[in-house]
This record gives sequence, structure tokens and C-alpha cells, in this order.
Amino acid sequence: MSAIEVLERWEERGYLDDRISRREFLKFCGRMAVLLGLSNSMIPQIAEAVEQTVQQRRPSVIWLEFQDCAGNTESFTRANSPSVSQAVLESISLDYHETLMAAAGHQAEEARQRALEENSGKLIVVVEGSIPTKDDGVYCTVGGKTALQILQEVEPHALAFVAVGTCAAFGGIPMARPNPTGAVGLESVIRTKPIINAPGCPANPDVMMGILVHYLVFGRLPELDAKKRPLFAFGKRIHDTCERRPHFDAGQFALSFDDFGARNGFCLYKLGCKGPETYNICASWRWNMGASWPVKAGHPCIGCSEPAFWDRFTPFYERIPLAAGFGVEARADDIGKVAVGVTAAGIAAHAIYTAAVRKAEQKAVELDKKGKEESNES
Amino acid sequence: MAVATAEKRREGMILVKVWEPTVRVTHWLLFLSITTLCITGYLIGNPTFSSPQEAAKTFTFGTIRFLHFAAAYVLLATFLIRLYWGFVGNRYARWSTLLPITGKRWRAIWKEVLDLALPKGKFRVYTGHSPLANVFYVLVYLAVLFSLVSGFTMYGAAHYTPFWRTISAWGLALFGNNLNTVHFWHHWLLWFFILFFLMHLYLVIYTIVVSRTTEIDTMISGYKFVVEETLSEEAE
Repeated sequence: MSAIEVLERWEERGYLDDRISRREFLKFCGRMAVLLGLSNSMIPQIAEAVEQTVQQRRPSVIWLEFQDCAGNTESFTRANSPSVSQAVLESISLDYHETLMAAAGHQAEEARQRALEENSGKLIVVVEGSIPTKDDGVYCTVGGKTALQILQEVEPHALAFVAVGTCAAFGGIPMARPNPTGAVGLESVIRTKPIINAPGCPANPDVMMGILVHYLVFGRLPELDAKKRPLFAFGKRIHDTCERRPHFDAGQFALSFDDFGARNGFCLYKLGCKGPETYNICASWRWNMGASWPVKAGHPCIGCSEPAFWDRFTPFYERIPLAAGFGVEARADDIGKVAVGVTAAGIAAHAIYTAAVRKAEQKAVELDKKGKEESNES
Repeated sequence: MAVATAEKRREGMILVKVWEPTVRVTHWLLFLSITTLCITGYLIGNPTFSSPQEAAKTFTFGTIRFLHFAAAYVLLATFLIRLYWGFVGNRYARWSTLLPITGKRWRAIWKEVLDLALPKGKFRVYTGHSPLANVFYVLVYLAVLFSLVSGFTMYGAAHYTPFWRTISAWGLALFGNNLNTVHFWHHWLLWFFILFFLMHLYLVIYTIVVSRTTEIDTMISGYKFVVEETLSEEAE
């Protein structure tokens, strides 16, 4: 079926089912084309792929939650086109999702087992939350099985893994020092299957949707960067897409949260913004249907989608981390200034000392000369 | 053995050619580029100027960053030339002379430290660098290398071509895949260079004043007065 025919059919029917209007559906497809960096001529193809998926049960998705706060689930259910996302989710058969599924207890575990068997090899496994590895992983068990055991069970049946949220992708907050549960990201556990990381705290719902739509349209996973993040969403730093960037280049900074700069939307660099170190789509795509994002709301980026952000991007309101091991933690520049002062004092002391020593030597030589002269005279 | 081409002599000292043009030019290029990098780098880390006019009309911070990057390219080129010259230059410029790889050199370093701490009697001037200076210059080149690697990792992170992506991915791997850690260490290097500059300047002046053998323009002309005994000792 050609793309035009797909659109014409949509024109005739007006809606997909009683929940989704034609307009909303095509808007969704358009947004996805923009998100994935595709030409608008691709919209019918996206529409066709998503429609087919909605009508026929296609790949099965199971959603595993481990050490998490369900924030990514919350985020996902607030996607920009909730009803379409919902439909896509349901149609791609969300066979197992602890938070969203109706079943509970043994029924739920059976549903997962069935999904594994029926869709072996075609399964997209979404993982939310980090995986504890210490003490055989006893710190996170679901239905009597540890997170590690569940993943081992699922791995052979999976087509690919999607790690949503910073916890699943890089260990996130459970992995922060001192990491009592030995939490790790998915990459440290899954060895044999492809992984896509969609970090963020929480992950942007449209990014998760984009990964699924890319797979539905092209039958393969999107292009990834070195940290296995999809380039369409994590290809640029927040700093380079930020609407406050002209103020950075102009040298206009907010120095506190209530000053002239803050009120005038100046750059939040000096308030500790981690936009220059963070790769994410926030600045260009934003949140809640493009309404806003942290920096627009006046708060510096904390780098929540970067590995180990809780340990290495803190303090959140300092430009660079403080240096530990100086009694109290100190800024590099404060330590540097003290070091320069001490060195300058040392140099001055050495110069004075040398001068004194040399003068004494000279005096000794002169005295010696004088003594010799005197003894010669006598 | 230094080539004692010059005829000039003075109080038992002989004027010898020590620093080749490449060494002198790279020395001053290092000085200029590192000075520019330190000043602009400090301002990038601690921007203190906020002008209230329209952002579209001013590019202050952008200009400072441009100067920083331009000076970084000069530093990179200078570093590479000097690195190469360390293999083909004269004995005073070679890595094989600079690196403290023998016990004899470490003993000479210790002796020089003691001489500096307890200044008395005659101060020995070496034809090339002194043993202690050798160690510090190796440290400086390591610091330059470290700042180039960390700096271009950050630079590459903001340039989205495949080439820069690869460069910054390599650099990031060295720093635990965390760009903020790169910023942190890059920032610290500023203070290394400032401390080095202070001590270097002091010891150059100290050597001139105490020994009266060398002259301030040695790094410009390439010639240096050396005690003849030192020359023959070094030749051994």
C-alpha cells in the first residue's frame, strides 16, 4: 500500500479507533518524523507502520522494573500524544509491566512467562531501574527472583534491550557512592543482545517513543553513539541547543537566582549549569508537549542523563566539582590562589635567605682578607 | 661536547651556542600560547564580566573562547614540533638528556636541590638545563600533553563531525566517560602552569644573579657563558 493510499484511507475514516482522531494520529506521526530527523515525505510511512502495528499484534514488549522509582513509567504515560502512545504501547503488546498491567501476583508472572515463550527472539525488553549485583543481587527481587536471574532468563528470548532512565542505562542514583547494593547499568549485565540507552531522570517519553517508532518503520534500531544512546536524541550537548546560549557567548550570566541576570534570562553557567557536559534533547524538544524544560524555567541543568551524575556532577550549583582532601572541600581556584601565595612567599624567603648567606660569605672573605693583611703587617 | 664556535671569553668562561633556533622559537611560542591559554582559561572558568546590553550586540565570552581555542592550536603545533625536536636536536634539547633515567641524574638532582636549599659557595651552571630543570621541563611537557588531551576532548564534544566525535570519545574514555571530570582536571592545570611560571622566572633570575655566567637573552640568542671546566666535565 502506497503512502498516499494510507493517508487517503485516514482521510476517509477520520479516526483509528474510538480514542484516536485522524488529526491527532497524523500529528503524532509528524512529530516522530521531526524527532527522528526524517523528511516529511516519511510521514505516511510512519503512519502506515504504526497503523499496522496497532491493527495487528506485532513485536511484544515487556517492561521490567528493578531498582527504580517508576519515574520513567510515569514519564512514558505522559507522552506528547498520550492516546497514540497508549495505543502503540498496547498494540505492540505490553505483555508485562508491573505498574500498568491489570494482572498481579502469579498471574503476572505467568503473563511474562507466556510472553517470553510466544515471542522468543522477537521480544523488545524495556528495563527501568538499575540492577543490584552485590550479595547475589538479593536487594531487588520480583516474585522471588532477583533482577539478575530475571535478566538471565529473559536475555535468550530478547531481540534487543532498551534501558530507559539513567538508572537502567548507567546505574543512576542507586549506583551513587557508596553504592550499597552494588548497582550497575544494563550494559554490565547483558552481553549477548543489543542495548539502547535512553538515559534521563526521567527519560524523555518521546525519546522512548522515537526508538520504538524507528524500529517499527525501519525494522532496525536507530544509530547509536559511543554510550549506546540514540543519536537522534543524544547527538548534541544541551549547551549547544540551549535558548540561553547567546547570553553565554555575550558573557551575560546570572550570578544568583534572584539577580538582574536571572530575571533577564541570562546564562546559568555560573550557577553550575551542566549543559556543557550533558547530551540530551531537552533544550530543543523540551517536555510536556514542548511547554518547558529546566533551564527555561530558570534552573541550571544538573546533567541527569550522564553516567554517575550524582557523584561527578555535584555540587549541582558549582561550575566544576570541589576538590576533596583539603580538610573541607574547596574550589580548585581557592586552593590555587593559596598555592601561589605560598610559592611567592617561599620565593621571597629564599631570595632574602640567599642574599643574607651571600653577604655573610662576602663578609667572611673580606674579614679573611683583612685578617691576612693585618697578619702581614704585624 | 658543545660546539665552542664563539671566540668570546670572559673571566674563565667561554661563550657557547646551546639553544638551536627551533628550541628558542618553540620556547617563546610555548610562553605566548600558555600565557594566553591561562588568562583566557581563567576567565572561561570564572567569567566576571556581565554586560547588560543586548546579547546580540556583544560576543565577549565567545571572543575569549575563540582566543583560547586559537592559542590551543598554536600550543598543539608547538608541542608537536618540540616533541620531534627532542629526537633530532642537539644534546641539550634531546629527551634522552632531559629524562631522569639514570641513578647519576637523580643524584645530581638531589645535589642541586641541596645547593638551592643551602645556598653557599659557588653555584654551578650547566651548559644545557640543570638536572632539576630537566625534570620540571619533562613535567611541563606532560602537563601540556594532558591539557591538550583534556582540552581537545572538550572541544571535540562540541563539534559534531565524525572526526571530533572519535577524538572526544577517546579522550572521554580516559576520564571515566565523564565530561565534567575532564573539565575538573583541565581547570587544575591552570594552577600548575602558574606555579611553574613563578618558580621558573625566579630560578632564571636567581641563576643570573648568583652565578653571573648566563645572560637573560640566552633563550633569545642561543648563546650562553659556561665555565670551561663544566664544559669538559660534561663532555665526559
